[in-house]
Amino acid sequence: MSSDTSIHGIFLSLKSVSGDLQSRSFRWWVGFFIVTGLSLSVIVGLLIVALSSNSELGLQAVVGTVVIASVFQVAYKLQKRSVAAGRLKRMEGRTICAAVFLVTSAEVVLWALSAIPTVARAFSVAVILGGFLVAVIMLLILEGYPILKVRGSAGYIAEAGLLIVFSMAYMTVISSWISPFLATKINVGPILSPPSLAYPLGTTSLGQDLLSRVLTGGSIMLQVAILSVIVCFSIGVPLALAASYRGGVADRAASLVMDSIYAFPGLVLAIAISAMLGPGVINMALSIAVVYIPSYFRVVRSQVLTIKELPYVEAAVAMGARSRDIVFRYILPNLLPSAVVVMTINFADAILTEAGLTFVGLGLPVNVPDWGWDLTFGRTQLITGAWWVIAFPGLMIVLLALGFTLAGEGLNEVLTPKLKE
Amino acid sequence: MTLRSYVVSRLLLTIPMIMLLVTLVFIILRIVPGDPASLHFEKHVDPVVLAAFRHEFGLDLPIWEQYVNYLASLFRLDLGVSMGSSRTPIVYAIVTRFPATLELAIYSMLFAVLFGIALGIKSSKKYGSATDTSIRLFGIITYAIPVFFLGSVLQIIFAVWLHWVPSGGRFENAFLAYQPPTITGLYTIDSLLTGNLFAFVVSLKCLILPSVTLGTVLCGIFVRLTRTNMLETLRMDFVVAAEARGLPENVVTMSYAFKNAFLPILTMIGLQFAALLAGAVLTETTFNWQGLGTFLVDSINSRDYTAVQGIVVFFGVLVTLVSLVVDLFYAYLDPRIRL
Amino acid sequence: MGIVLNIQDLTVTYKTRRGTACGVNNVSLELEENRTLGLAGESGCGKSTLGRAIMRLVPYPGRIVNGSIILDIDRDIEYQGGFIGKGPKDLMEFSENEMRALRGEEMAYIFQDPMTSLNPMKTIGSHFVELVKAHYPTMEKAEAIERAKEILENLGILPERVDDYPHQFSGGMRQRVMIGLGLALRPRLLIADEPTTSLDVIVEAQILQQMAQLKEKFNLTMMLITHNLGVLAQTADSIAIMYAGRIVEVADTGALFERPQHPYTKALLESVPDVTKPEKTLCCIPGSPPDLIQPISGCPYGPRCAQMKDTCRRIEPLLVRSSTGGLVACNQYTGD
Repeated sequence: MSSDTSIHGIFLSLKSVSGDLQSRSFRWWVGFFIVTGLSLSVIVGLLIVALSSNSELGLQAVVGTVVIASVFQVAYKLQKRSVAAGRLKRMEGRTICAAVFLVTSAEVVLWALSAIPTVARAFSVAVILGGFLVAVIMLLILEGYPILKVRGSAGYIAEAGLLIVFSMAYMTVISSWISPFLATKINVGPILSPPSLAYPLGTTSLGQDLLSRVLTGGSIMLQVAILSVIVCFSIGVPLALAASYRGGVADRAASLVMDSIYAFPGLVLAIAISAMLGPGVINMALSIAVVYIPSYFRVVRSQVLTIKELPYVEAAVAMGARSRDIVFRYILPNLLPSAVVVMTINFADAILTEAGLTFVGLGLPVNVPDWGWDLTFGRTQLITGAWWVIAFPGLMIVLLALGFTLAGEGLNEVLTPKLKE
Repeated sequence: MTLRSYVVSRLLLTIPMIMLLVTLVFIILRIVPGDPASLHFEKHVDPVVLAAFRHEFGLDLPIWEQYVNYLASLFRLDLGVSMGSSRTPIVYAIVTRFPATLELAIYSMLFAVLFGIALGIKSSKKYGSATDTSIRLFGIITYAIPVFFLGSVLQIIFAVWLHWVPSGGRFENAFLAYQPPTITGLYTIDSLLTGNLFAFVVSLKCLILPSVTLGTVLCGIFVRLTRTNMLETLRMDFVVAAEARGLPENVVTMSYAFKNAFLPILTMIGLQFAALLAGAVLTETTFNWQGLGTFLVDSINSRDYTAVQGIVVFFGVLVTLVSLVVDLFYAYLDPRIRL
Repeated sequence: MGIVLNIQDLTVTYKTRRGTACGVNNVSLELEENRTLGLAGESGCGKSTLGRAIMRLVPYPGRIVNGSIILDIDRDIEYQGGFIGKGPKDLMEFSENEMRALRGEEMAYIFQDPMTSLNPMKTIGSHFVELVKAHYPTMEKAEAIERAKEILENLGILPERVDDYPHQFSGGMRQRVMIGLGLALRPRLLIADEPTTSLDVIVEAQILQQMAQLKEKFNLTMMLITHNLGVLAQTADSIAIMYAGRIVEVADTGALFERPQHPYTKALLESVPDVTKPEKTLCCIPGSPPDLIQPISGCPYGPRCAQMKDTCRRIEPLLVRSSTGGLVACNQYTGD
């Protein structure tokens, strides 16, 4: 097909399906409306929220991120074409992409310094990070199509999950610039008012605007999750690799320790650790990390044990390859896919565990906006029937965890295909 | 390997695991920065009181001596006394609270396993259909729901709005006079044992929301596991061979495909037991269910670290023993190991 | 002698993400009573799919889209909730329940890999009990076990082993158990899908011999699916060669080996080593089978055929009567 040579993407794939108007199938229209309708409503919603923001910089923040992402996207496309045509080496192309991103980011910083010196630092960090996230989202939408085509439903699930995750991360990053009220400010409206035009998601029992809190509340959760996953990954994978490649006593000892950690109900152990460590993002992340290291260890270990026995590894040994080469060139690349899948699921677990820790009272101080906290606090109003106080923060947690779970589920089939067709 | 040597080696493996586990708890509660005694008294406290407190709980001894004392008392099944003013023995508290948790755990697990397996089989038999997709999605979504959120939603709908069931507790306060005497501590079983049907209905009504909540959150993994295992076994030769011999559909599905798909599911039941207890902590707190979970949360809020230590050790040992039982059961079921 | 099985224009398609693959393409075949038809062809040519289609057990995502499978049923069959009278019946018109009543009772199927075709969680005896219970619900369990013992003994397996599990048997014994299970209810038609491929040569010979004896004893009609022409030379009365989902040649065994008509058959025979002629140079067939999803026009064997003509690119040959009395699908013989 000729379209294979042109640029892919969800929108473009919809176009390439079309013949003449009559032959456009029902499914095509459904897809078209879902994609355009969703994107339009997201864009419109974002603009409305940005225009009515408390910081008055909402529009600048949104536009700034989109501009960075678009510039990056154009640079990416151009370098890709040059690489494909052989005019550019792949490494050079990557360097150019990075340079373009840095230059546009630097311009944002300069602009912020001149126009809004008081909050320049926070603003530019949010915009650059947001710009990066939008660039990832754009990449997923525009470049994801080949994966979808090859992998079918698993590809769609993975793509949907990743889109949810990155969109929510984006929302969280720029949230403080676009939220209609300050999320921590109390008594901005009546106490416990149900959703209305002025307060689209209602207000809390302290009279805070729930929409602002919902927009902002993901930041602690994401920070904890990212930190704990980094710690888990960087301890679990190397440890398992070293122990199970060596085998023998080291392997047995490590497995025994890991198994005994695994025997604890994860949340209970995390509760015990964070009760001792006290509140705080890093402490929470550490207590969650300890609990989830064994899940990496187990997966990586079983992979290593399988791969180690495969003929091509034995062939490498027979050819006299060094241990270092075998581990890094033969084994590691083959177990990374499963480690990535575990990592994605681990994100969901970390988020749910963070919510659980907050729920039992080991979270951050009340004044930090956090979905877990709103949910916990809202439960005390349960008997009055104030459903919105728990419903919206709860749904946000579900959505974020769902994004990671979907991504994990999809990537599991995309990266480590098991069921043959 | 014969069954006997398998059982023996599995039993022997359990001992170091439990040792490691209790050591781990000790490390977390003593070596991690923050000393239990000073953490217990949140605010500044008279140094004399603090020293007396330290001495009472043996926290002034060198760390090795503390460890030895801890192991020795564990060996006597003594988990120490509460740091609260009552100084209740922790073992006593655990024994009185455990039946509530056990009752919740049993019903939730039953719900999760039965519901999850049924959906998984359905999904695998309709592979590729809309039913399959929606069951898979259900499995994924339940995994992503915080258990206390689901609990709160169900509470609002069924307790606050519809008034079908009480919003929490193990027994409705209005009927406390009918509460069954404690035999096993599991209200549903006690009421049946004493022939008190009314109490049975009341306790079941209280039990239904918590166990459905916890069961739903847990069932996702069983749906997924049953589905993949069934898909694998359904395309195996012996299943097609059974079809080719004209065996009835339910025999092929259940005693050929499912019987073989069940062994990994059994392992998962053992592994999920830990998740079940973790979920129980949150579910109990959500539904004000007076079990070990609420005890743990209460102990944390009152900074009672001996209680926390005791409960965590108890949970860890419980999970290890359950996985031991599951593994032995597995060996018994699989004719290839049973030899 | 009557016709036991008559297949007309059978087409099976597999729906995949890349498109629809035609696994079996317009196949027509006849099986006479008490004869063995060998079905040969290279891997992926659709021979197993054809066998499974006769049982109406095409694996997902395959589907029989066209054709009829007429089985001559030699006795009245009662089953739960129904009754199937004797005489030729089109299997395609039967419901799933009626098919279940026929499978095992009138037609049996033996699989390639005996290691995986028995339920590892059940004893050999309970395999028999379930089979008997499925077709004769009133029969006692003890009676079924007795019958199982008898059958096993006939096959040379100690009767007391009914209580053993499949993993305690060797491959050859398992295949015998499979044959016993297949023949327990005296079916009329036996489809054996590469029954000896995964066994070693000595066991293979024993099994084949046993099958030949049983065939005489039970007046069986057999369809033997294999890629091993040597096996067919010993056991089959006639042979059908399949290529890319189509039957390209049907002939009596002797005629096929003496005077193969289709170029593919010739090439196949030349690729088989012969102990008596060590000087024979083995040939291989160049190229690979066509993509079933994007079929080429004309003869499917065309691109690999040494005698390809222009017409082969355009015209797909039909099965016509050949000079040896069989059938062949090649443009050389259509008189074009």
